[in-house]
Amino acid sequence: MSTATAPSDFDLLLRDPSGAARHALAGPRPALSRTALLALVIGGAIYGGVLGSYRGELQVLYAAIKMPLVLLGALVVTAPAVWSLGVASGRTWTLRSVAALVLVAAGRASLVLIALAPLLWLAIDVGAGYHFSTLLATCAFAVAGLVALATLVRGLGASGALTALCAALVFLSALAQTGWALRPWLGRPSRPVEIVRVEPGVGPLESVFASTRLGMGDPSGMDTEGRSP
Amino acid sequence: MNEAALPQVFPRPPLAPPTASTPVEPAPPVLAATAAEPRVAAETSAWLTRLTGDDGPASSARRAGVGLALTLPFAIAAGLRTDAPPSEAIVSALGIPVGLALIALVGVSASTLGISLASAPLEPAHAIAVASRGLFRVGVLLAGLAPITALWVAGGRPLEALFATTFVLAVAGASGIGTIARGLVAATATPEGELRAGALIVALLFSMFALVVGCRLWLGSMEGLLAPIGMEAP
Repeated sequence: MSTATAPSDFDLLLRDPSGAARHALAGPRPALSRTALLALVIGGAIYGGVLGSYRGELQVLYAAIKMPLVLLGALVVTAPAVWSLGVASGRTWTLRSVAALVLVAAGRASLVLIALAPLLWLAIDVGAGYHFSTLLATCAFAVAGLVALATLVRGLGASGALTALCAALVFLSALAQTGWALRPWLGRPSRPVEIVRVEPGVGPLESVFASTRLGMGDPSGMDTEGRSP
Repeated sequence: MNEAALPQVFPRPPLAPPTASTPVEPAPPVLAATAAEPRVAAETSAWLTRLTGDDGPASSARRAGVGLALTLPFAIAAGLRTDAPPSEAIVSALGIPVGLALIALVGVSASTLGISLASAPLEPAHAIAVASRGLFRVGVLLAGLAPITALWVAGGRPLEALFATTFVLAVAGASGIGTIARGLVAATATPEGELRAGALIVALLFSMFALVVGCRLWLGSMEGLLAPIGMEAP
């Protein structure tokens, strides 16, 4: 006779996003939150390390340290936003349960980043250029973001889809700003390894456009640091 | 109905495929949704439930006060870029809750009079409850979006900081105005549920009044954000 065993929190996070999201929103479940946090830190570190492998040397370590910080920073900003959007739409969730839900969504997104990291590493290894690698990294983030959004929607329910969408926008916005503040990630081979670049640059939004243009082979206009060709 | 409170059923396959030594039989739900955990309901805040569940005078006053207090984190975040000393920045930050309180006080009082003049029944206590709900909604949204505003104001370029602040203020303000306008119209509906034209016109006028006064207050309080892009507060 077989007996059903409850899945571990990691299994829940990996294979049952609906269950993970609803358990997170249901109240204190420290083990699930710890697992999501661990996934976020490890996933962020691995993905950051792969980004830093473009430049190599200490950039791998720096990017691996910075990426979990950026993800956590974005989460700290996103959780109160989700809570307030929920309360404004008539929910009475606790901030604690919303923070756990956001953490679970981000933990699952980090697992996606781990899964996509080998592809990015391969692209870098076979000689993808700086801007093309940046584009690939952005695309991987977009895929992970969609997974996080789906997890949030599963937790909040169909009527919370708008809240989840707004939350995703807040998260992406925070990620862009904190990521830009803590750049470089890939690190140009022509520049020395640095933990944080101090020049203001063109900003996170314009840098995406500049990287897209340069990645597509159009050298006109300024680069991501605001320099003309 | 809160969908997160729906009964939890997880019909999903077993985590490992059956082997030759394990008999194949229908797998029960892994999370034992019906026995050990019949429901996974969202955790709710008793404080929030109390605050939003009652429309009595004391509850309305408390809700309005909490809403106004919750605007302070946003006001401080928006003022992070000013060069003024902290004492002046704090006084400047008080402008947002004071402005919102004035809009609610003047706008809802005038709207109550207008609706009464249009022979639609609206108790002052009901109008106060509606106003407090609007203020609370604005406060909650501004408080929740204050961290992302602070991130952009402190770390973004001047135009990005201005855009972030304006966008958040517009979203929260529109939400609050909508809450009050809808509340006023709904409160004066006929027993059959029909809306009164007089109340609709008054609600529209209130929305316009709140929008214009809100824009005026915004322009006056954003000096630190407008100056770097060459604009002056009127």
